[in-house]
Amino acid sequence: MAEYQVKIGLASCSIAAGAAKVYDLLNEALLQKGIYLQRTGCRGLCYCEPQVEVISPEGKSYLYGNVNLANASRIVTEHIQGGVPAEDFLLQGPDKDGEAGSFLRKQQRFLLHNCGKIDPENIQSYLAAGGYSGLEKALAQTQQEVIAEIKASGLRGRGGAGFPTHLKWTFASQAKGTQKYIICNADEGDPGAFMDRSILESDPHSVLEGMLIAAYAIGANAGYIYIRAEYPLAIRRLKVAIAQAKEHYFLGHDILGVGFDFEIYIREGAGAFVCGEETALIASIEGKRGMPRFRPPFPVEAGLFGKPTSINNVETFANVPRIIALGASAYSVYGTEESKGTKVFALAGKVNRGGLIEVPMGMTIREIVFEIGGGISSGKPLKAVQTGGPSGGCIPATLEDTPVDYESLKKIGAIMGSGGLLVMDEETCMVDVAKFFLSFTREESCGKCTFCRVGTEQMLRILERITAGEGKEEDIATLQTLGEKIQAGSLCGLGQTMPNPVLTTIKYFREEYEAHVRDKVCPAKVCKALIDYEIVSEDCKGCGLCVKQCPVGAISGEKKAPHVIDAENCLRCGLCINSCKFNCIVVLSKPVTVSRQNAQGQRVGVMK
Amino acid sequence: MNKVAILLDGKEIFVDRGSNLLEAALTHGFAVPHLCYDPRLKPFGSCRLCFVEVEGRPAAVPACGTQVSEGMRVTTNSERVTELRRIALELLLSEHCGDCVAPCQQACPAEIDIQGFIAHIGNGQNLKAAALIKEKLPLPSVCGRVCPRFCEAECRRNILDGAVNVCALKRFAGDYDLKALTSYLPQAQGDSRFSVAVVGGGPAGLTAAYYLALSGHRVTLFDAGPELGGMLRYGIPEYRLPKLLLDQEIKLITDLCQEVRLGEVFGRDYTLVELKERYDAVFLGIGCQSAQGLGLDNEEMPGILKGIDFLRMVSEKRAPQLGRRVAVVGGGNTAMDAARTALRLGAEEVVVIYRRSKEEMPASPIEILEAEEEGVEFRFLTNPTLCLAQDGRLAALECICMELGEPDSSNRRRPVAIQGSEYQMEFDTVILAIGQVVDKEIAGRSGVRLSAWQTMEVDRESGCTSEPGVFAAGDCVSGAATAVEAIAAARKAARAINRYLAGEMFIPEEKPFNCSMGKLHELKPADLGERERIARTPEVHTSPMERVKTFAEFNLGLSREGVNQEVKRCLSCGCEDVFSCTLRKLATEYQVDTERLGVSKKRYKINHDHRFVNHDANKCVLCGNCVRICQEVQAIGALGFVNRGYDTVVKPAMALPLAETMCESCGQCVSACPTGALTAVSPFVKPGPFRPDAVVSTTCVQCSTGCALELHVVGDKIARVTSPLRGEVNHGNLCKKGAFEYRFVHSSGRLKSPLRRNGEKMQEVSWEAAIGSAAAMLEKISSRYGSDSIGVLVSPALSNEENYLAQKLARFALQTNNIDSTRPVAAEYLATAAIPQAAGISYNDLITSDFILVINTDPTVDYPIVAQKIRQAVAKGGKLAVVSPQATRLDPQANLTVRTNPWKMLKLLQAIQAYLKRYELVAGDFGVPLSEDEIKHRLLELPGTVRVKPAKVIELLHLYLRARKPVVVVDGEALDDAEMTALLEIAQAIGRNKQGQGVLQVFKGGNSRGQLEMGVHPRLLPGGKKMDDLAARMNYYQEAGLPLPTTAGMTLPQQLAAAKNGDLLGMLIIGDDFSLDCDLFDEGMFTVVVTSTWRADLGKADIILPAATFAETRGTVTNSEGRIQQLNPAFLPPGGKDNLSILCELEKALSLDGERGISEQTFEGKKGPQRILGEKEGNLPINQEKKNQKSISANI
Repeated sequence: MAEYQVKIGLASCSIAAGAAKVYDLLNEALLQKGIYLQRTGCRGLCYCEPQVEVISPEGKSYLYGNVNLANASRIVTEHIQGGVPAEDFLLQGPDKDGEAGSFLRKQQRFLLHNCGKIDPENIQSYLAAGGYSGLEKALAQTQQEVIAEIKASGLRGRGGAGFPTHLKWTFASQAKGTQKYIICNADEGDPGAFMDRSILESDPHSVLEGMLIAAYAIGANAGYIYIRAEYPLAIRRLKVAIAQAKEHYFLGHDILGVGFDFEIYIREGAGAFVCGEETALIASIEGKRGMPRFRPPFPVEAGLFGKPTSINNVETFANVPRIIALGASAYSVYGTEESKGTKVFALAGKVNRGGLIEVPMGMTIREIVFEIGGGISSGKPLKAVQTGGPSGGCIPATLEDTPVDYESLKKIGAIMGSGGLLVMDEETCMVDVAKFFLSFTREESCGKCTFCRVGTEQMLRILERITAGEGKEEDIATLQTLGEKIQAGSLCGLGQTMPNPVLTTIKYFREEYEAHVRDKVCPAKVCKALIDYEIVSEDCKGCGLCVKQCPVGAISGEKKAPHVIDAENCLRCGLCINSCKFNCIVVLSKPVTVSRQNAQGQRVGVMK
Repeated sequence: MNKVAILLDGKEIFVDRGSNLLEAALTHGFAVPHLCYDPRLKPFGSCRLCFVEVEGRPAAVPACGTQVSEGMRVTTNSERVTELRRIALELLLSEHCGDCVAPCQQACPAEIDIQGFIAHIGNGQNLKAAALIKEKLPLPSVCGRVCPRFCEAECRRNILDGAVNVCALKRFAGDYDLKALTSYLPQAQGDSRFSVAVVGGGPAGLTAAYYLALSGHRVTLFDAGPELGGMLRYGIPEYRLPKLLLDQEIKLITDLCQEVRLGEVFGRDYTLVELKERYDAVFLGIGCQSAQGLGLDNEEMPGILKGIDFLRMVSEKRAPQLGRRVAVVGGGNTAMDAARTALRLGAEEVVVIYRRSKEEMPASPIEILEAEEEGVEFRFLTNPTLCLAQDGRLAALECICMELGEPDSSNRRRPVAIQGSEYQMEFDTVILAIGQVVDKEIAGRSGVRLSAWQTMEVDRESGCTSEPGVFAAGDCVSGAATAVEAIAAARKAARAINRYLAGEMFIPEEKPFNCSMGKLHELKPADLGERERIARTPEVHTSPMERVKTFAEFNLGLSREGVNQEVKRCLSCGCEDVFSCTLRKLATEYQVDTERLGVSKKRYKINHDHRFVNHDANKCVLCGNCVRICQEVQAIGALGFVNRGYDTVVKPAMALPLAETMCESCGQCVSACPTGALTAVSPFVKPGPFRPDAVVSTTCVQCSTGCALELHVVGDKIARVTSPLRGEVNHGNLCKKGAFEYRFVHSSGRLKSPLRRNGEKMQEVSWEAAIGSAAAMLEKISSRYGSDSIGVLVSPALSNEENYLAQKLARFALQTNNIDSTRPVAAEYLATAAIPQAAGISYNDLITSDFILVINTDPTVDYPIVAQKIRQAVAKGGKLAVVSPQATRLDPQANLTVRTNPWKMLKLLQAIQAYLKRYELVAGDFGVPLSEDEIKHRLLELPGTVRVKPAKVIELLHLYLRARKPVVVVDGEALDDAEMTALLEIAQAIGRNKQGQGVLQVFKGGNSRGQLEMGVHPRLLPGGKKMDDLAARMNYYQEAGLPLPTTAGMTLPQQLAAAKNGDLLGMLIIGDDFSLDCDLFDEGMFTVVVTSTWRADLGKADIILPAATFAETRGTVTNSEGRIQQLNPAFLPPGGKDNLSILCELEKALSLDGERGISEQTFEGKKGPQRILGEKEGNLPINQEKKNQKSISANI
């Protein structure tokens, strides 16, 4: 008898939004109705978590968003009992497209196909969705045929560099030696990026299956998943998945009876960003300090424990089963000439609908930001988009029609990276952004090579100086010189790309740097040393809310009389602005009157 | 060898396939900069300096990470790579914190190595201190009195408790040198046949004359005055600089000159044109001696004197009458000198009139203070306006009060007269000490281009004037300045003249890059680490009351305690690695500018807690060499990287002090460190740093590995030991013994004179007496009790030559075969014919071996260099088995470990033989054929007695049998003769006793193998010939012309036993051995000991002859692979005789004709031992004589 099916998304982001409590509540309510509440992973609509999907006995899907304890019970009472969907928080239904529709319509969920639909902790759910059929198909083929299929699909490494996956596998399969390894790089380190985590939490078997196919293709019989320890849920689900795969003989000895053995081990990383770099990752698995080394020899020749090793990213592996199962052409229809298929992005920043999206390669930034993302949250114009995480580049709004694929991004000085996509509006200071990313890479440099270790520090010092209003005329040139030499001279990808945010912001937003350096002004009014907060006395009602908020007591004034901010003490934290109901606190650039020499002989601006 | 051809900067070179580009470039002499590359380590790629451009590659690549390939075209020095390297260096230096050169030396105009000379004083090498000063300044005693101490102003100690009294220390060194019987004079170069005229005998002229004469030029020194010294003589009063002392220091210089012409005035008696005709070059140092006036109307009247004229008159003993009240106008040092001289001449009241305030006075503060102490009055902010005369002589001065206005060009506040504030003061004499200028007349006549101030215009670096071949320096160039500035400029001019005469282009002196912790005012006491506060020691002064009465020197310099205290106070700011730092060399070469990126603010604690290694993380460039050499080569891992990013730092494991980690004190980290971050603890009280006087290449004799050593000699001490990289034996690797255990050479117990027993006491006697009595007594024993009642023991630390002579002495002079090593090794197999002589195995055969069996030794402890090679073999896939009574550090790498009781080793070996026999694994047989019973017995014994599972033995055998190139490493002392023979039998039986494989015997004694080859064994003759080999005996007889003793000799254990039961009555022990049984020296036994160092048991010896150590020996040693290596002396033996001479003299005293046999002369050069050994198989060719032997002769 057909019944209602109810699914609730339970990935880290949903749980953070309160999904666990909603689950408990719904589960209890539904149990009484004899309905099993299914757990799924993430659908990518992070802006309206938690989400509950109700599939009617007729098979119609109703997706509720922003479900909380209050309205969760309404799903049961109104929709399941009453048969009337609760329209007010229904995101998407058979008769309603709405925002979620706009968010999803332009996407092409090839890889995220199962995410949010299947139960990540239940292999049956994966199998029901066609899981492990790719593996079966692959094992029926020769190794060369599998690699040829991947080649035909045009799949390129999704870790960032975009190295053709089939080439890596070919090299590894041709490398001498009987012992070979597969490593799944799940050391997702970019701030704001959560593609890998989401896949591992929502569809872990697809990654295992991808690894199995890869292992078969190159002749490896052991694989490691290098995952950061900060992903406990993903680790738990992986462990469950590995155990279940073993139970079903997808892992272990003589898999599917074709004489192919494969074991997967999980290695938890301590969260060093650089361990996403192949050779550093290998060193870390081997128990050494995570430091990159020279390539060549490349890991495909001499990798883990000196044996040929193919290292691929979570997303790459997750693509593989469906490419094999559906055929290469099912994948290669998407994308551009050079960059085939789809790409998952973590869309974040000042955008209306942030979340995990999968789009065909070659979609423009504008389409992503405005059509999928629903435009800028503040209503202000788009200023820039940062791709590729802390070592990517800032793309200015003027280049919003750039298609997102490996070649086009490289051409304008940015990189694809692992898939972070940060949207910035006019309120963002580009110097501050560059400083933010650089302070991240400064901390995350492994400390081995000169350019990266000291170069980050030196560039950061200069940026700090500039944002503090103590920039020197030659600083911008120094930043550029250092940046170029660091790119040319660093040992690994981290160092080679680390100057990108600085160099692209200088390239596209030079006037902002010049304003900081010459005029001691932060045009976006972000850099604290260059701004003052002021209360517009005509508008101030003297309500005193801001006085209560101010953590340092810098605001004073009689009740019902206009208040004033003591600029000396003010931390420029912004709490007062947020608290003011009359929008009468404004941010002003600090006027610079004269410049004089400080004790070190540097020219510094002096505030009025 | 598999080679590929590559083009490096257009030059074709052939390099090993698979090698990296950097190694290829370096071994072919291309200078590619690098910090993190060390041939002992795998390329790491951290420093990012070795970038090169390879044709066809879009970006520059690091050479160390690039493999060579056929036809590769490489550019090592393009602009692009130079720029990358420069930026990398800039970045490295922005986090490198420390002083290359101490700030005092930087501040000194003459650039004296102040830290160095203070360290010499601290180490008791006062003459070397003076010598070091004189490299830059020929008048240390004078300058130690008159210098205004630019150095002390910058002394880092200022921020703690006051500057080190550098000047007084300089004076101490100078005075010490002057008082010495032979004052220091560097070796002058040979006659250049160039003549140089030096005009002016002041500090500039004297300096120029000194350095020019030392360069071999013929110097004629001219001076207008009756005596030399210039301003030093006429401008500085006797009480500050005794003229006797000045004369002495000048004499050292004039002794070097061809001619000194006094009383001849430049421009009057001779002209520049004439000088240029007669001389090849001219130096002008005519000074600046014309006193300036105030410009008042009638200042030329009697009673008004010019300061400098006044001082000259006094020094020429024609002091003028001054009267009761004297005014001195001016605020400089001349004013102070004039005022204090006036007091000493009897003036009752001396007033210094100065137009600004005390703060602005140019005189040095100490002079002002001393003047005040002596009673000089000061009128500040006062200026004379009128000289009032009475009876045609000065009677009073009218002065006006001043106030300070805006700063002027000299950055001092300009004095402005207060109108109407004039007043009068009565004086009998007024001395105007306003300043001096160059004598316009003389300067005008000089013929060189002058500046607007009438000084000579010269090039700053070279002192070159407008006239070719004419150079000038000193006050005539700079205007009135200090002696030290004149000296500095004159030395540079002398250098330029040198190059001019040689016809070379002038190149300014190289200014090496200097890293600085920061300016004095930027530093806090905490930046200097924890330092004990010690107040500055002032010089001893006579009291002001006393000193004004006389012209005698009132400053008596530092007391001896004061010297010690001030030496102790010196912080030794400059880096210990300054002379060898690669980073500094590169920063200089690439002209790195630290301005752009600034200097490091990091401050790590400097660790001095290790006995041999100092660690200063502030200077670390994180190349990782130390971490890697400790892990990769030593397999210890005592050091590691901590933290990430910019905060990465190298620290000892677990953040412990280095000494508390697994550290073995091998010093490898120090040898791999390209900067001063890791340095060896100096054996000196003060570390210097010093440039070594000599670097002596020699060989380590602490074990038989034969590591190449470089002894860095400073004075009479070894300052440091290094090893050449890319050497054949140890490739630059050393262990603790080689790197640090050289200090016994300088032990306080070193014997300096022969000792002879006199009753209960040892008495110093002459060499003749000691050797005479030794010989007489030995002969007496021999004649009375037979020649075999004497035994001879020789240390394996001695050279081949010494060993050969020792056996000659035993066999021919004493007619006994009782000769053995003090550390005997298993060598019976050599003396019996049973087994063919083992073929040669070199250490490098270990690296390519596929199976290494280590028996009864832990090479990581006793032979670390051998252990390294074993590890390399394992890394290449070789198998390793360790048979040892206890765990060794090689066990983790071993495929098989067998624990067995050392006493059961023979049983184990016999069991192996039984296995081989039982399972017919070998074709041959063992010494004596084994019966079935024996086999059974031995196999059954194995588990019970030896407590080794048979399965293990079988596994071991399988590993051995399967190997194609197996090597067995055994300790020559740990296996006895029977065990060694059994082992060799096994190797022989399975056909593994060939060239490059078989059994490698390593020895704890440095020359154990050499001893056997030189015949220091009761049953072996020189050349390793067997005593029972008749042909060999005949041969030796013919060569020596003397009969060999016929009775069988006793080994060491036999000799000891014989000594106990009274069969042995005389004993000759040659060389140090601290493990000998001191019972030997008991009553009834006559002992002659040739030893280097006193030890308690020597109290019972009869005659002691002071021996030389390896650092004082010339000769050869043979390492355990049979390589004959050179020993070179760094010093003279403290006893005055080297060991060969001692042995020869003993021989003579025993009436053996030294010319017979192979005499000591035969050993001249390297051919000696080879002559004895012949072209024996297995002996490797002797090492090439090393270079760098500079100036050893100077030390010996």
